[in-house]
Amino acid sequence: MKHFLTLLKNELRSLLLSPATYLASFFFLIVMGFLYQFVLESYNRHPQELLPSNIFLNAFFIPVFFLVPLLTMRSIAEERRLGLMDSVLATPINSIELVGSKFFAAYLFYIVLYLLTLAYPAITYYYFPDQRIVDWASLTGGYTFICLSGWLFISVGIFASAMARSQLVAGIFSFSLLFGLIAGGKYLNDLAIVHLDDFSTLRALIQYVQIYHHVEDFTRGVLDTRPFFFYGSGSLLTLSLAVLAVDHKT
Amino acid sequence: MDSEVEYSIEVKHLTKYYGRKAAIQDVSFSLKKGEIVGFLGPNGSGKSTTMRILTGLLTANSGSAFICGIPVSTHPEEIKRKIGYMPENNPLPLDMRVGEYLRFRGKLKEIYRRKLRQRIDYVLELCELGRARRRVIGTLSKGYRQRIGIAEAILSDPEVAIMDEPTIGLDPHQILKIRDLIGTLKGRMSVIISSHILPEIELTCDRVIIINQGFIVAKGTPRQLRDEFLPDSVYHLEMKGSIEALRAQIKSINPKLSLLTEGNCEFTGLRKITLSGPWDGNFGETLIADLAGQPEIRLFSLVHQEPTLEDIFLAATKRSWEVLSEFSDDGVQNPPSAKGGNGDEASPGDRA
Repeated sequence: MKHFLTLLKNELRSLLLSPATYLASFFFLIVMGFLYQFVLESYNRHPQELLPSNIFLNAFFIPVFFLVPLLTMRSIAEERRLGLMDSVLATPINSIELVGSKFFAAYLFYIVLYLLTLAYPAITYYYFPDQRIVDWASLTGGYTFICLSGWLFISVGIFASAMARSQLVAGIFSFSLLFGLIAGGKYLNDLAIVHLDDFSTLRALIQYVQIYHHVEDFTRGVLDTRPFFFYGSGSLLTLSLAVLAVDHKT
Repeated sequence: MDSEVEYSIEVKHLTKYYGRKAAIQDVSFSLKKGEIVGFLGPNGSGKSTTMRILTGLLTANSGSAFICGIPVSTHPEEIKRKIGYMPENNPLPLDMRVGEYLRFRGKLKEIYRRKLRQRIDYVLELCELGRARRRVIGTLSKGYRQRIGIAEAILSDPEVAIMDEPTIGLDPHQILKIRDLIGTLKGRMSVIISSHILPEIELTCDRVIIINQGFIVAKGTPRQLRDEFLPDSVYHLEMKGSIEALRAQIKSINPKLSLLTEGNCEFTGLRKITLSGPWDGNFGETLIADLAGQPEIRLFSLVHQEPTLEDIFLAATKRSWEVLSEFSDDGVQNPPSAKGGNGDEASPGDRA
């Protein structure tokens, strides 16, 4: 892995020099700002069961559906289309280093963007220092979930990019996979059939991949090892598939 | 180990299929150390596939390839330390500066930090890129970008440089510069270049390999290929007088001399004649002396035209197409054999 840092630095440099990065960051922060404001306003109008920070973090899927494809779709698909992949892979690096560097660059950027959204509760707390409005313990749990689930979401984006030659196709594929993963799990859980006694194993499996339940647990301060295993192994699996796709499609 | 290896590149019976279609079949050739070899072929003939197999980017269905004696299929990372590769269309990151790009590639090629600076300075000077060092690649002309590709390919001072169409899309001045640049590599590293610019190959390369429809159809020095595919040389005459007298005269000079075409120039009213004769004999001086002594013939000009590599390329590929169509008509699957420069069929273990 001796080329990993060189590749990672190059990826981060590309991200930092690209105007698209700043545009994506700007829109992400705008959307998240409006979302936080909307949550506060609804909290002001009607009594809510959950804290504003919990509601804000429960809407994690909104940025994931759009930000992750935007961040990752270019990474491998565009390089392959331009032929840059050939010239990079003709040097003594391996595809694990290549995929790993792209994953970590996108993941770091994803985390930095999310950490910037901490400014919203911080500003709110500055003016209204009340635990009922801003609960730092709940926020810590929620952001731990963001960091953890980011492994899997970014890996899925990188895998989609590794499978495609066009970044548009990669973006659509990434969106579809993330939608299936997040919304599909919830849909399956709502099906009456899986709640029959005969399907207890299937029900347990579906419960295991309920990302909505994970975020609720984390924001309530419940730290279970199972989500760690789920996101860790899921991320490793998708990154391994991405490595195979890079090797096979070069 | 390397000092004992005679060939920098050795390819034996390489075959690659894309689905059911064979991109290359039973391709065999080799390059000695320090040799520059031109790899010619029409579009889709299998040049890039062969080069990508040599770089370890593609795996062959059968056959073997060796770089400095190391098998490509089993030691891809090791052979990547020995090669410099310039891919087709020379893809470059347009947002990077030239120096920055070379430093990045140097690190990937595992050049030591202390040596890297020297190597970057050296290749920038060799490729005349010194003034463009701080410029963004996207703002440079095609000629500059091609030179950046070559600079990158030779940055680590590799034993083998593989260049896929390094002169494509360049104007004649830029082609001249790239040709001189590649010429400076002769003797220092083995270079295999694919190109469509045949005069450039002829001037730069020690040997030529011609591939068509996945088969090697010819290999050897330009002279050997000339003897093999176009053994005749051509003379262009401008004259006045009797054609019959000319016919009689050329037969008396050499029975192998023949009249190919005849016509008239609209402006000068002179007869334009094309003669064909064996390559090994130079009949120019004899023709001038003998025809000048003929009262029925007035010779105005005589030009001896040697067959160019382009003519050889066209002849070799045409012959292979004819052979292939014969095979397909007969339902026979055997491929045509590559002809060596001496006209012998290249045997499986034969060196190009």
